[in-house]
Amino acid sequence: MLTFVIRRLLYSVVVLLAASFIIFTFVSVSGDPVAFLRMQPTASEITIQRIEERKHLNDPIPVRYVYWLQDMVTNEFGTTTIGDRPILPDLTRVMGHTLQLVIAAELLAILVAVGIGVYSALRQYSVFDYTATTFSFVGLATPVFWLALMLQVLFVYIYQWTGVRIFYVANLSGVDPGTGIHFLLDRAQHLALPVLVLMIASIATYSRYMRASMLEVVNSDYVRTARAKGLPERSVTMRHAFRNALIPLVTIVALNFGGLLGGAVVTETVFGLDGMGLYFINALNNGDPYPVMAWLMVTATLVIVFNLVADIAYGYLDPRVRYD
Amino acid sequence: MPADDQLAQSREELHVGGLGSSSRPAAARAGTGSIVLPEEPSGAGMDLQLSYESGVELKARSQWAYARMRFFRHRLAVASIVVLILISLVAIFAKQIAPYGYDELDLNNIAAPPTLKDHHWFGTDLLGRDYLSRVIFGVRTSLWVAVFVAVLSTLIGTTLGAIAGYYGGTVDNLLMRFTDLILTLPGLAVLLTAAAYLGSSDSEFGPITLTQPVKVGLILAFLFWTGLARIVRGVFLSLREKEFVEAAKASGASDMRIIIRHILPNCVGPIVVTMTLIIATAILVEAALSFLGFGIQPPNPALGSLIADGQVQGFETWWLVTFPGLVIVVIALAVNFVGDGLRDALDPTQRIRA
Repeated sequence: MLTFVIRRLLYSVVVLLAASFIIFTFVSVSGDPVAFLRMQPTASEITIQRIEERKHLNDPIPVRYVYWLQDMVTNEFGTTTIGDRPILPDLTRVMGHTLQLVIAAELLAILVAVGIGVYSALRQYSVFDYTATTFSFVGLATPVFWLALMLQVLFVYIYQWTGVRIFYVANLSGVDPGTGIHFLLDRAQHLALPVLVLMIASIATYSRYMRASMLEVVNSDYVRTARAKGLPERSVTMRHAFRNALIPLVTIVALNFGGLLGGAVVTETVFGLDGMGLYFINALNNGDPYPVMAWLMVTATLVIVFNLVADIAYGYLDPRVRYD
Repeated sequence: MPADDQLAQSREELHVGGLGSSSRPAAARAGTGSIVLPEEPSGAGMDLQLSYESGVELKARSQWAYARMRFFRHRLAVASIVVLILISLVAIFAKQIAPYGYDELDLNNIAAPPTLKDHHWFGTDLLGRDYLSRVIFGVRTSLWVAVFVAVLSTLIGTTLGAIAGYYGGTVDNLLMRFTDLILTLPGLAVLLTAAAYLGSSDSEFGPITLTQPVKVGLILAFLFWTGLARIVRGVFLSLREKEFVEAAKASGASDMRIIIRHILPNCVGPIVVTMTLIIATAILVEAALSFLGFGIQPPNPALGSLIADGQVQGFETWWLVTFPGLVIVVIALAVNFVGDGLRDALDPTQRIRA
């Protein structure tokens, strides 16, 4: 087990280095981070030269990559090209916001999806089952950004008709969020719609997995054995079937969660949430490689870590799985 | 009761799950004969007449005839195919069908809500552009890109998967490491980065001009082939040790012939199913990219950028956001249903899990 983890981590480091070099090249070859500054009449030639020197912009790309690597390790991801703004504090802030969004959405999604999946499987071919299936098919075919926009439109119109503001449709906080309970309420009203959007997307996937794995377990031999030895149905379903059916879901949730921590790019963009996703999009739009690279390293690391978590959790929950 | 009946029923029950299967168990029960037969005889030429001891006339059908039967029994899939064909026809004949041009202004109807008047079924935007026409042209680009991505990534995935699975060794190792790499990276991020830095305008390589939508398609295809490569590799790995391959080798068939004639036909099911899934995913991902401004760039129309256009114009003109999105949902849903039907038809064993 330990060797498995170590080998995977070592391999991941290699993957990360390779990927970061490729992407660094990508970003550096085609974007000029000071292009924006060059067009400003107020920016003097000396300022630009100083930036070029500080960021080694005139060196060949492999050299710049090494400088960047050095900066990342010793200097907390370094600073942005323009403005020399430290990257780490920004990343920490947006990560906090993304965590609030993603944890709320995923917890709720798991609860709902597990309920739907289990009930669908126990009442296979019932009206409920077909409704749930239809819902998840439609959910999987719906672009997330469009769903987010439709919810925005809906709540804007509700506000216009009734004058009651149930949820806010943009930003993370009001102008004056207040403190204590008022702050929490304000935050909840702002996060409700983005959470709902992420939830719907996750539920569509999770409930299918849950249904499939519950069906498989319900028809397995050990459940039949449990019934045959006369256990009450409730105990068969909850203790024998349900708990085992959860195992595959753990993997899916872990992988999805790892991906989402990079920011629900689309959702955050639509709702203007100051999270990881929006940070990345803004960095891309600015053509600045350093925040893009920092974001990418954090996100890729999280994906790798959660991949590993998924594998370890699977082995822990299902003793039949062995690592070699 | 003849055993055949139970067999037919239990076979029906394998096709569980998914939409539209509600009718199927009932249909199986309704067939009171000992085996469920379709009413019309199909493809008389290749069918053999067999008769069982029970006296029931049976037709032996080719694998494909059975697949066709199973597909046409999936009503939603058939309906979806019809919808998709209609949408594709509209997209192909966009210039003839669309009531207005893509950038044509109708200054008498500015920001008109959806109405039958002047064919503005999907309304117009603040410049008086007809959104029905814009959506039709958008579907044309988006569908084209999606099909391009699917074909290209299927070709790459199948070829590399087949080579890796058949020969193993270095190719196999490289392939698996590469798919691992792609699976470990945050997909959307790589796509966005690539699209942002590589795909924002047309580019010329000597005599070849890559138009911007083609470049977006290439970037998508580059990330989408890995799943299929793994599937094809798996099939090849398990089949290359089989007796029929050995027999082919013994009779002097070349590697090429064994790969293409003997093993590849066994992967047709998964390949076709994965291809439809790629089409659906490509449409959704391309729409998201275009919406974020990193996908297909104006002046090329695309469904995602139409929605972004609509969003910029404010909440008052809700129809600008609604209709392009609905069209995306309809297309993606239809493609998924067709994929479902194809999986039923081509690979019945997979049904139990989904």
